[in-house]
Amino acid sequence: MNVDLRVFVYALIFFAAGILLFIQGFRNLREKRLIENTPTSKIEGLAMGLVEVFGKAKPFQEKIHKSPFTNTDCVYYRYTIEEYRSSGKSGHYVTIDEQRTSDPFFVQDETGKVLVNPEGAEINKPDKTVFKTNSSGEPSELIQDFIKGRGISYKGTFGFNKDMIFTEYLIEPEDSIFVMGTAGDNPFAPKDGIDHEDNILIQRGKYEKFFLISDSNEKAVLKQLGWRSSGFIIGGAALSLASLAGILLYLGAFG
Amino acid sequence: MTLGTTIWFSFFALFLIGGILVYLVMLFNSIIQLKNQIKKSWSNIDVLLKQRSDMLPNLIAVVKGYAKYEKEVINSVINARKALLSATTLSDKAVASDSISKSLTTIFGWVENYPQLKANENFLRLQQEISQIEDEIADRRELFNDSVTLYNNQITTFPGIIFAKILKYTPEALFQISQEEKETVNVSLSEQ
Repeated sequence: MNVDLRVFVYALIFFAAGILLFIQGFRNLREKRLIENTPTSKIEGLAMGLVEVFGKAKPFQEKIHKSPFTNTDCVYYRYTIEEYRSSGKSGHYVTIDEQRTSDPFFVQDETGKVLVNPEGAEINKPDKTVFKTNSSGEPSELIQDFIKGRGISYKGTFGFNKDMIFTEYLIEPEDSIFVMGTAGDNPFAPKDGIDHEDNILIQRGKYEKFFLISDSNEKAVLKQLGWRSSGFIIGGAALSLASLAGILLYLGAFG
Repeated sequence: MTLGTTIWFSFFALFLIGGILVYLVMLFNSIIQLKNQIKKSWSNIDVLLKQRSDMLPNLIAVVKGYAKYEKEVINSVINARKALLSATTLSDKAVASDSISKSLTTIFGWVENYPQLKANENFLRLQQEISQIEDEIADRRELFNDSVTLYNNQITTFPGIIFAKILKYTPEALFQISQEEKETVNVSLSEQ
């Protein structure tokens, strides 16, 4: 492929990427509006449907997880293991293993607590810890044991360490969290007519798919979504228009 | 103007006009969503008001036997309940609900004057359940008022005011509580 044609193909890709970013920006703007338009509920008076609550994370049935890379007590974790793959002169990190817990946990405010099922939630900004391995760095024993159990080796050809990134995201007990999702009857709660603390469950809705768990407060979430949406809308449009100029230039449409 | 320039400016206009149109549609939907949020918040309070009303006849039946000379308060509960059940507007319901809450606070305070009430299991159970509902009503009232404030702010500021005029939407009233109710002490079992 000659240089001009490669630039043309890149311009086409960037043009499409710009449009996707532009659309994503409006999706984020819609999410921002949804959060703005939904007042924060007190858990005691929680009603069914789309709700927004803010409180502290608490374990359900004393179920505490140990995070895989730091052995930290948590109610939720997600981890990713990425490995550097080179192709020709360039290279990039590829996710080779990823897992998240799906056990429910409570969120508690001054009026009560409600169960949250994190399955399908967008988990925003939980505590993050990153470890890297390369030719000069060894992973901790904990990481070594964990990845061995997952059938992953950090040793490459001739026994050299691979270039890898281990990232762990946590929600620890007592972390302040913001949850926006759909509240409904907990299908797993005992049906004995007694008011159990796990009778109501916040989860991803059947109709309203927006489900966010964040360790920031509402104001910070809105600020983040505001920046992201305007960045994507303006950046996406600018990227598309710049790429379009490149495409038209290649096609000689400017005369 | 070359073909390339025309195409480029067409896309520029497409992004600009498309962006503005999508924004306006979102704003329109946002106002509708806020209006629906108010309806939903009100329905959530209404359910609890109905639930509390259903418990009142039982409560009156229990206290009548002990507090024979407190007819005035008992009658005010009966009348406020009737008013609540027949009310059609939000403000009428708010007034009736307010009146019930005040009377209930008085009735729950009788345990000091009528020690037999303190020992009555039915009374204690009803007191606990009604107090729980009262707390939930207070929380949901707060949520309702937040929803109304968000809606009122949206439809009285630019550019939402334009859509509000088109849709003929007017500001909604808050679910107010009386000053006396604000000052009353919530009686609960733990305090006895």
